[in-house]
Amino acid sequence: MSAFLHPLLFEVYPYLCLAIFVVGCVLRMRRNPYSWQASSSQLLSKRGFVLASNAFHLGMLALFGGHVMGLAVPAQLNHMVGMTDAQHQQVEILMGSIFGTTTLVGLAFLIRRRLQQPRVRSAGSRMDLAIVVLLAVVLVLGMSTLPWSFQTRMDGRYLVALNQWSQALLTLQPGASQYLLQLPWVFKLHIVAGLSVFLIFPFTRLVHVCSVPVTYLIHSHRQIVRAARSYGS
Amino acid sequence: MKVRAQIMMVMNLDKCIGCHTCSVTCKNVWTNREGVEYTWFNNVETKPGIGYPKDWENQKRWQGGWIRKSDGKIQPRIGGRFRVLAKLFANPEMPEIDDYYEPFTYDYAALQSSEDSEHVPQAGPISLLTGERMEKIEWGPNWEDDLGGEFSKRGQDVCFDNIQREIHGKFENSFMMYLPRLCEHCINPTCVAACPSGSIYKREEDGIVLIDQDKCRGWRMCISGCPYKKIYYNWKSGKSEKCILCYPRLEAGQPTICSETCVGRIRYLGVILYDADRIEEAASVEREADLYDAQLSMMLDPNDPEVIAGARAAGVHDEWIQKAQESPVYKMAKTWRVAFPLHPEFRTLPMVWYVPPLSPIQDSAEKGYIGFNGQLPNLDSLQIPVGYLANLLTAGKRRPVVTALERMYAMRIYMRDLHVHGKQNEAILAQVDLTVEEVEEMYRYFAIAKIEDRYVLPTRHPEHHANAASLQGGCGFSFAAAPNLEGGCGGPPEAQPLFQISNLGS
Repeated sequence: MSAFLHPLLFEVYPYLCLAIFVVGCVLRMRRNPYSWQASSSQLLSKRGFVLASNAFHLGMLALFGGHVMGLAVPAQLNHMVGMTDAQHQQVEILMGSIFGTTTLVGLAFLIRRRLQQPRVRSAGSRMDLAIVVLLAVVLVLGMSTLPWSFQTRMDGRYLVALNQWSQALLTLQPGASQYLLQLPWVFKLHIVAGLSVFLIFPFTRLVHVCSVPVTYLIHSHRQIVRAARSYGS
Repeated sequence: MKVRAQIMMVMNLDKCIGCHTCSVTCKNVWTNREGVEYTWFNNVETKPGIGYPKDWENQKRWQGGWIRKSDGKIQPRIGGRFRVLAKLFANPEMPEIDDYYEPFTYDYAALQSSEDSEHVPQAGPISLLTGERMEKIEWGPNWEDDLGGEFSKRGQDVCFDNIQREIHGKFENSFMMYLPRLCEHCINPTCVAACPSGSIYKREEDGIVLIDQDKCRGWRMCISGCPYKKIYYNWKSGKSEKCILCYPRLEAGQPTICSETCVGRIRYLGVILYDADRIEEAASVEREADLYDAQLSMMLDPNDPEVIAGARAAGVHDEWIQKAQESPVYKMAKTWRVAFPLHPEFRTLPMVWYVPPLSPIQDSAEKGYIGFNGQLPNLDSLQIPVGYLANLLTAGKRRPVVTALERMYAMRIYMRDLHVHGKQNEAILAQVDLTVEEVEEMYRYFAIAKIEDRYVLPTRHPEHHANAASLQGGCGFSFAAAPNLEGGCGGPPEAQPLFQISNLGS
């Protein structure tokens, strides 16, 4: 890969995606909160949906959690709690295979439903379809990295490189992309595609991820009364 | 005592002719948009029937409303907080569009554009979901109108529980009544409790339950939570929508559209004062049959000086207190005891009540086909079984329904004797424990039903609640958060194209 493109993709692009993600979400929430929703299509077709949607969402949450653990947590922290890179790599391979498969099955069903169910097809937008296809691409690329990871299960080479890269990015050190020079192309494609999800995130229905209603757990199950005083002020 | 005011509606089912004018005017005003074609904030059902959406009263299936747990506390039937969140990705208790019906129009253009042919051209049905031609219309919002369909389907109506269902499938025992339905604007709404985003709220000043469209994220739990299935998912905008009790009209002192246009003049609107401290207690009484009495006991006497003082202390405007004293719905629910909540066993403390329908039996009774109880016809031989009405309105408790029906009959007989025979039949009033003044007032409200008696509505008093100057130049009923720079109310012009990418149409 050219000396120009590589830093562009792995040093500039991540920041660009993150900036658009944050600014876009804030702007959308402030400018047009009405457009902020999950856009569920369950009403239109329920057959098989309960299983598929749960598989997709739960798998996706697990994969996201795994990525946060692998990338945002410094490798030193893992060493401190007594986890070697090799063990870490094996855990990642196992979890990635299980939840990757779960997600893929759910996602495949959802894409098929979106294409074949006439009601869902005509109610949804092109962006709704684009985003599931992009997620599928990211997922397939991510799962294609498993053989390479498996090869290095004893030293976790790629895992360490990726962790160093993300740590450098998160701590705003220049030259983060150098850690990825030796990475196989599948990883690189997965990273670029994955970052692109954040790029288009604010413009899609994915925004509902940001409003997961965790506060519901501490809600009172009683009336919510809105006093007239709160209007128009 | 925490006094709160609430707009309450009562419908006199005795006079409903099932014309659907309320539904149609409501639809024209509020739900003639893409995404809510299947939605009827107000609909009229023929009972017995499974209704719209199918089987909505069956909470074993849809899990709406509240249940009382063994510790005496109530919780939404769909589950506690964790169980609600566990259903976020896919809600197994949510009806599908076919449980309502697939919205359709007709291919009217075919009538104009078809070529010369031997047969008359047809305007076939077209789905409003897919835009494609539909083979056959399978169901609609009033599919069972005037007892449409076979009894084996209609008879699944859960109000037949504990009474002999099959008997009423026979022609000579069949009966029907109309049931107009809208959001109940409950005092203890399950939709509010079930909403994960906290976007549904009850307005303090008039009790109207609304969904904050900017805060709704489309998690769809309210649809399951509401036992009346009166919250609808807009498949285009991805938000839930519901009856807003025409609050822009109510705030100006006008009745709702459904009430205003009711040809039978069956609807009544007025103010009720209730004790908000007693909500939980009233909603969690042990026996379902006691829920009607519990809710009734929450309603406060607007002429009681203590209540008036409490209302003033709670910030209820004097005009509202005055209208509460003149409230027709208070008289029907509390003074005469002839109005009842719809399915109080859902424990939501609903605030749209019904006067049960009489059956046209006077003639049969006089001819001797039906027995008499004193001067009143024997209510056990009514065409519409009392048990059915009790299952609908009082969680199975027959006594209050019988008393109400007897009072309505007594009113008819008394006024008929007065006008036709010129005699004051006070004996019949004594039998139902009403005075001459009371029965004449009932007659004025139920039979004459002048508009000023049916709708006794205060206006909203923004000057009382908020700094009215801050509302000047603001946007009234619109999707915009604030007026844009050009002074219009369409929202900031550049904001629209940027985020129109989701499935929000133009």
